Amino acid sequence: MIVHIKTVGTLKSLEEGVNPFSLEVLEGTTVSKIINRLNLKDWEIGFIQINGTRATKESIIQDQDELTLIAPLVGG
Amino acid sequence: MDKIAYRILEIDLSTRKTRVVEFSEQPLRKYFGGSGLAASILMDRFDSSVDAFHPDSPLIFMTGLFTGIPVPCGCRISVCAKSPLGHWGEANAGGHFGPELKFTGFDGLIITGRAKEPVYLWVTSAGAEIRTAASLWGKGTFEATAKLLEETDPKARVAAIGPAGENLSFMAGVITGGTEARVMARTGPGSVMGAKNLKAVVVRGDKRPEVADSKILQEAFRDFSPNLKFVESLSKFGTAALIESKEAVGALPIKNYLLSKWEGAKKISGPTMVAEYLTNHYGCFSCPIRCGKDVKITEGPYAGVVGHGPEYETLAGLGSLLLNDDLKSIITLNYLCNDLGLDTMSTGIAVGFAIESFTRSFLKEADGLDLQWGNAKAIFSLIEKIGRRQGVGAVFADGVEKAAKALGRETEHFALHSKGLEVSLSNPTPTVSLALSWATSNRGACHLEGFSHQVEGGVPFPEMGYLKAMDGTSGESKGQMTALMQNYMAVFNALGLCKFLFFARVSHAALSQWIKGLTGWEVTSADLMEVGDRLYNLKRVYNVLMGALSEKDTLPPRILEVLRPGKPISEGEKLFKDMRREYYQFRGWDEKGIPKREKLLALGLEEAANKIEKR
Repeated sequence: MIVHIKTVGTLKSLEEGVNPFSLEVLEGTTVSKIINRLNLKDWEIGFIQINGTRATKESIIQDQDELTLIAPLVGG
Repeated sequence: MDKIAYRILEIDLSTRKTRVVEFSEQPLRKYFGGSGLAASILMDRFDSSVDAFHPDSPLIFMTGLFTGIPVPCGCRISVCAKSPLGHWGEANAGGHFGPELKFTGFDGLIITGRAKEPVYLWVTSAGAEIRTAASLWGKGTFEATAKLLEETDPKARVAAIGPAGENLSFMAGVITGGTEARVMARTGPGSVMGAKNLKAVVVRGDKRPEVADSKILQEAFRDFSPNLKFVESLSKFGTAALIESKEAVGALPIKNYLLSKWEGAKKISGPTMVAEYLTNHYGCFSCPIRCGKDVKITEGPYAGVVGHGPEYETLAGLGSLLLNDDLKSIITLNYLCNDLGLDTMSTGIAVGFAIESFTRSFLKEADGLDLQWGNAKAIFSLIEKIGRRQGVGAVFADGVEKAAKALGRETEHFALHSKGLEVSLSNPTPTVSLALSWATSNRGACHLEGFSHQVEGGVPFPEMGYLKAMDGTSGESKGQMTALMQNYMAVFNALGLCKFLFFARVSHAALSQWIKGLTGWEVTSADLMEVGDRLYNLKRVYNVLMGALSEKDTLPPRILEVLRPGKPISEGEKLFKDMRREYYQFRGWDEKGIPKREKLLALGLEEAANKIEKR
């Protein structure tokens, strides 16, 4: 199963400039598991979107989903 | 003997007399310092018949308890006065002016009267000297600051007004630090200085404040350092880091809040600014975060100037709001506003209002300026005219509420303010509590009084039970959360601490420990929140006495529309009114938004309660 990942804001450097990128994941994978796999910490993620709609860390990924990870909106 | 006391220097510019007013530990425990103590002083001296520009209206610079104390972010100072907007006025800045004032041995300044000719105050441990500023009147803050440092001491710190303050613009702020501007921007304190013929306050001191237990305060810094990871983006890019994230979630204001997506975001983002223009990371006094980003421009009227780069609100207000994706121009416009002494946030909203009015023919002529979206050259000229109250600039110099009165009722739809203060630069669509925060903030449509949208977005507030992100589109329980955040943020202003500590997840336990180190007091989490509740209500009473009731806790139609995009405006209005109703109930206010007597008595505000009854 493939998930397409896009990072926004200060998370951008994640894949050395390759953005968006894709990952192969198992069925039933949550956003939280992907965040762990990318070595990101909880506080580094602000908003999460799946296919443009707001999601949570508990949301389950479907094949070909577009997952957007957005840096926290702290500061303004 | 008191463990802590405040010495305030009072200066009457009319009589040129000064005196020292002392405040003992008791009022400091009740109100803390900063805008808390200032609120109690302004309430004691409240007179509804005296308008903001009257000589008898006091202007107060007040350090917080921690201003100038080496704990993380102990840097901020408040300026408080009746606002020309007709209600409570308060602005706040970091930098080094506040700590330097504290080092003079004076914790604050109360300034009354009106000088016969332009003057500045030279404040040292010996007191205040009133000196002529005749040659500085009309000058921008950059030049005025440089000259004042030449005249006094190169190591002094300056808070100055520019032409905007001299011309009594309601959008005039007080600029500290010259080109390295940290600005007390909101609610027009620069115009109150202008009305007093006061060009600047210059301070230089060498007295380090005494503390109860320096070991505790040394530990504060060490214990805080692991928290810096939570604000790493601010250290790297400043608040400018937010631009692209906000655009992605629909929170960036674009084309006067008419659009929710914009391809220009990347061009004006923090990473772009850092890559192309950064010269230095800047930290305020005792700040380990260092969110300031110094930049240098090589062309235009400010070529060669190294100074404070635009932060998020300015990038949005002079960028996305106006469809201006030219970062170089935004840096220049930021310098221009700081030099003129204008609040960049209110100015951005005023320019957006002007452009929409012009392109929709409510404004027929603009001194020949082609006020089109994204026309940076025309925007520069308009801002110059606003700051100098010249030509068409005079229409917008006092903000959008007054401009809409001049341009016709239809323009009120997109005059983006509450209580006369222009909205901050965020679209509340994904975090609706921001709209409630705006409408109920004591100083007008301000995001900093509440920062509630941060909790909605997931910044934890564990002491009040908020541990993870909330449904930002729902109004449920947002009244309570917003009120609690407003109370808590009032504490930061009174302590003289930067609110970015909240993003760094500083705990109540840590703050209580810092307070113990400074004062010897034992303060609980509940005590902190009670002080915040007291301060918020005290300022609310001030507004009630000025006639600002529920009918002023409102939002313009454009904002109600974006609360529920694509739906009838009645849905956004209902959402907002439901949140406001819950908010009033939680606060112990009646349906007119007036604090009930029992609520005020519980907070120890009997005199304020009596003033409401007698009004």
